[in-house]
Amino acid sequence: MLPTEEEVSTAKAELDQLSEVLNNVLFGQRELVERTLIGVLAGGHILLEGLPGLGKTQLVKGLAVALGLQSKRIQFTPDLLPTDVTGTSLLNDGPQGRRFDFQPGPLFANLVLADEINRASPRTQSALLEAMQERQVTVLGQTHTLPNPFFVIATQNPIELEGTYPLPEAQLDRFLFKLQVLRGDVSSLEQIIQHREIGRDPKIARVLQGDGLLRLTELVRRIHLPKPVVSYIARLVDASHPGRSKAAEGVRYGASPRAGLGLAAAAKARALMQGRLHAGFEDVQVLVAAVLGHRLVLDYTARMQGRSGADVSQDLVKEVSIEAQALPATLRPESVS
Amino acid sequence: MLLALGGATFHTLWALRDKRYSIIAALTRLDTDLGLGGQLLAAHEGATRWPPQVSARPRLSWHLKRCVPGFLLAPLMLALALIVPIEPVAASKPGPQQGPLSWTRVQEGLQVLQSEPLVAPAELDRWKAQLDELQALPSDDWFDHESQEAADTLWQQIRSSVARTERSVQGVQQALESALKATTKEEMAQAQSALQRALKDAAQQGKQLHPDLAKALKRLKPQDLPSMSRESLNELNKKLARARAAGRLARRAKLDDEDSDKEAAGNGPPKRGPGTAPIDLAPIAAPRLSEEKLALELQDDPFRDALGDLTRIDAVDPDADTGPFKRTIQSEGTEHLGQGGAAVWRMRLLPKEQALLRKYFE
Repeated sequence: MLPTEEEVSTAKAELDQLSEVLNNVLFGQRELVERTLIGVLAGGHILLEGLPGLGKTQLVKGLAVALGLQSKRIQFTPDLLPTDVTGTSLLNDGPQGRRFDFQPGPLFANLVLADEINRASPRTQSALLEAMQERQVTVLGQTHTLPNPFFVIATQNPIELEGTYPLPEAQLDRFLFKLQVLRGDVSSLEQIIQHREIGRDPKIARVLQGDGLLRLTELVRRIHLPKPVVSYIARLVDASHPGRSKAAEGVRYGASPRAGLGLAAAAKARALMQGRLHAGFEDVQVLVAAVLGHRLVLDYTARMQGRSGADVSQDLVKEVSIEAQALPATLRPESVS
Repeated sequence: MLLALGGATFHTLWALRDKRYSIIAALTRLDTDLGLGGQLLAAHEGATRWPPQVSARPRLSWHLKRCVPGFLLAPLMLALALIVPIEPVAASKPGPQQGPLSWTRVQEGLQVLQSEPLVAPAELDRWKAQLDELQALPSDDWFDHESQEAADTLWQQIRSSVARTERSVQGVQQALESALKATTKEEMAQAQSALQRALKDAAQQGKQLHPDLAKALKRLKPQDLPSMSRESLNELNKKLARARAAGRLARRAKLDDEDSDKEAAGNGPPKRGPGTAPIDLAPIAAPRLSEEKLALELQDDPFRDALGDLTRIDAVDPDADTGPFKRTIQSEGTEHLGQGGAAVWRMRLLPKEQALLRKYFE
């Protein structure tokens, strides 16, 4: 069922308020805040990459409070075990006798901050796979469903490579977005210095009550995605594969169908944030680098040329035409106007 | 009729092939250009309402962005034309006023030959026509390699032709002189015999000889020689001598200039060169190779070659001397052409030079 204009305008008001609150938590990072909210609305997991001290953890904490979600933080280290993340069964000696009770791990929260995820061993990282995709964990043969909503927001530090385990492609594919957390400008820095103190968290107002986030994510699903936009997403994903476009030169493996699904969901979430009942081409173009960038596996030559997945994505946007069928030359804007 | 109708239909469809477009394509373009964020497409699919209609009446309007630059640029360009020091266009470079030296030689030679009856007028006309053909070329091509070579060849051809004619006349003249000097019967018989041979040679010249001269020689019979008066012999002798002199003069046309140039420029450039044609151009024969050497030939990896391995085989004449180049004592002289052949070809020349020389020798 398509959303009504009233539903969308109410949602937009809430999301504007949410953005405002988060922008007061993280100064000068409007784009990052917007993308993070889009990711959450689209029901995806987000990987934040940035230098230490730029506010990644603060953003996640603020998001949890503003959304009224239960959040937990896992600091990933090389000796972290899978059961430290998922939880384990402990032997309890109670009035009803001895029995194993499941002790949930930190994954059992609405919003999980996986800090420095690339420091954990591949074994522990893979424990996240099932949780991120299936939204459930299996321990000792017993499957436990994770709370709804469930998001993982992971962070990783791009400069420290020693003692890290780069995330495998399969796990990267499970993140809807990979967002770069960049340093703000001087005015942002001035605001931070003026309004923040070390060791004291900012006061954050709760914006959404009860199942507010679930309502919004449900609304995102109902946003209309026109067929030409669907076709555009499909052509973009297809063009990301080697040999399918000039932009894909230097790409070893292109984006998966999951990337196409993610891009569609993200475009719809952006449309809702802007108060529209439908998604458009611009929504796709704005988000394509965040969705496809980390999913493209580049070859040696591309890396030698200093091209990143985001660069390839931007080239794809330039190369792949919005129009599946080109209009006659006489109807080009330069001819018509 | 049907064919014409079919053709017209095909032409119409072909002309309209890029003018057909779908509603979706048009809405996509409008949506993008108007920045409606997919509203038109969604409305078309019934997901939302159409955007409010905008009334647009066709009217004349000023497109200042298009008009103003032209008005501004025009005076600017005119002003620039006044400032920029533009030189008047140089007159096109005049072509050469005078043709190659060979032309002058041919012209002078033909002029001399026309004055005295030695060479047939038809032959002279043919040479003249060939010269005219060369002169008809554009002046820029006069000094091209091909043009000059053609002119030189024509001149050489005329010289050798005149020389042959002159030699046949010379034989007759010498026989007549012998007859004039003859005091005994034996000497007269020898003169008659020489005349017969000379006339036979002259007859072989055929159409080369001037008709008047040919007629006079035809009338001359060796057996009539003793009975002919000295005056008539002298007259004929003088006529032949004049014809020979004209031939000599024609052949030496402009040679004096060339000689003086030669003296001024010294002995010319060293004439050492690539020598004879390289053996690579000799008939190609299959190389005589043992199986072991053939196996080596197939070995592609140069890093696996041992010292002394055969790494390349050229298809050459097996009988040709493929030994190293041997410098001789004479090769120090500037006139020596060098040993040439395969040694120089293979060992001393770059591939580019080899290609050039191959073309030359071919």
